[in-house]
Amino acid sequence: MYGHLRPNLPDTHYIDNRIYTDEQIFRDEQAHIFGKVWQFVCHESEVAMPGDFRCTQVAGKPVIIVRGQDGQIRAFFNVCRHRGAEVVREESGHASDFTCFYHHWSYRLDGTLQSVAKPAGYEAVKLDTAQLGLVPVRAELVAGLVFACLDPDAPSLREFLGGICEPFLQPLGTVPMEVFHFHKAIIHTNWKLWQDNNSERYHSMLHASNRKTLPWVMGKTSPMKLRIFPNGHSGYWSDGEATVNYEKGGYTGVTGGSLPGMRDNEMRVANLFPDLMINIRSNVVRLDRMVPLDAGRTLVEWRGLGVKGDDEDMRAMRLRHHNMFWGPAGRNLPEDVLAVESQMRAIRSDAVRYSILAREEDMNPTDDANLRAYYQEWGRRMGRSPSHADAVSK
Amino acid sequence: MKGAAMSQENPQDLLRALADRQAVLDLMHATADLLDNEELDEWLELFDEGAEYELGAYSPEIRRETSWWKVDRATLGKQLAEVRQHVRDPARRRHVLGLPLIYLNGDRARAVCAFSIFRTLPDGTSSLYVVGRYEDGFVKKAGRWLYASHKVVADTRVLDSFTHLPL
Repeated sequence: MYGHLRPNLPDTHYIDNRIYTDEQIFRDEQAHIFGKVWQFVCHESEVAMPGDFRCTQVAGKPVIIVRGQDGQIRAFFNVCRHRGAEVVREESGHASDFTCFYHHWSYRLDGTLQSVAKPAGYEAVKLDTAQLGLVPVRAELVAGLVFACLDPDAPSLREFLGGICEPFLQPLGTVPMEVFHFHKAIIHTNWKLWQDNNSERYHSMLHASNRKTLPWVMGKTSPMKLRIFPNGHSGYWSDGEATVNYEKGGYTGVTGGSLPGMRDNEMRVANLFPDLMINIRSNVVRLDRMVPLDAGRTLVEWRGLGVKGDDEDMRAMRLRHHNMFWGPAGRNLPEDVLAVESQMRAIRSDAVRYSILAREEDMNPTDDANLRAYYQEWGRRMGRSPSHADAVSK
Repeated sequence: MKGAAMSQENPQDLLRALADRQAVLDLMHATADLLDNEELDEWLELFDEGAEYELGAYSPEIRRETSWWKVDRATLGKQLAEVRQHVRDPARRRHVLGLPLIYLNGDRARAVCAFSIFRTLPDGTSSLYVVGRYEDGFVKKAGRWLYASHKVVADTRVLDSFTHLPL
């Protein structure tokens, strides 16, 4: 079948599209990637006060993130040790302790079991309540970003992230930030296609606004360069002048209030393996986080961050800047979603089996080197070549 | 029934209030119809010069109101002028409005109205897109009612497709 002919390229330069559609590969990803690596779960401002909690999912497992009375942020499986009901049933909230609604087993904010209902019934078996706290999940922070990891043997968060922290440590980590924008959607595509969209700039021509405002994307050379780090992380930012030309696009009222370390109209993007994008446009931050639901559906959470304590005008400016491009009614985001859903509809048919990641152009943002590095890491963790979906190497 | 229109004792005042109420109601339905037909210039003409358009929702995830689109009339005009440059959701939309509660106060008014929007894809299948309510302010200028503010508060927070068009 002509559509199944392999490209005449090195294996590293194309993808077998079945890695986006195969449900067994999806299940393997949950086990070998999402069950093993650090994943962003929320910003520290979402659990600002002792007792604040936030619920989410990591590798398909329900997780509570909570700030304890000692100020420490911890994570636990949101599963009662008694009969397995969800201990917390809200998306977020504030609590002095957690009491399971089913049989009223109660847990402290540090996860320890505080009390059981009718304890005399357990005296005969000498129930050891000290062993029956909520099951802890590793939680660590960098620059206010809270990450969780299900693997007790994984390296520390900072070891996992390495140099990819460089572009966001100062803007996110030196002034108190808070989430002022949140929205989510279930997009009908494979989660990796959304990460690809966030990682490659070759698609900037899709966006009417980017065609006007990002000259360094469309030119032959660019002061903006890809940066590639171990463990599948990458990003792009400039050491020199590579600013967004808002004036050329006719966009006003979005400049000023730059975050620490950011020049006016500067843009930096960091893509953290496997699913987080940190996109900074001088004075506002966008975070994309994914919860893959199955091979063809992905819950994406979008957050917008600004400086905590902004006055009304400054917050309005950051909000305007954020929503202009990244809100659900922004100029760019609707187009990105249409693109990755279109990909998925066509790829699912298996009419054309391979897609191309072969751009080599001196690490300009439209080079595919970061995607190749990402899929190399994907292949290492999966024990499977991304260009040969049916060949498993371990 | 709530609203100043029904509390008038003078028959002429009552007639004027009824006419104002009908005019505001017509304006709200014109809004829906113009958006459904993508007559965006005409839709923008329903806004007073200093008016603001906002789309938002309460986010239980971060426990605060979150604003997804908040612009003045001038910015809205620029964004609508660019709509046809964008790659867009191919679905057609149909607004269905409930009966609004309208509160008249001289040349000012406000209204709250439940709405739903359905999407019909090019293949003919339809689905509910957004349900929510409008929280609107109006001003009467030169005998014509216009939006002073038009706020869309969405109950639906997981959208099937994002939007370059106002809701």
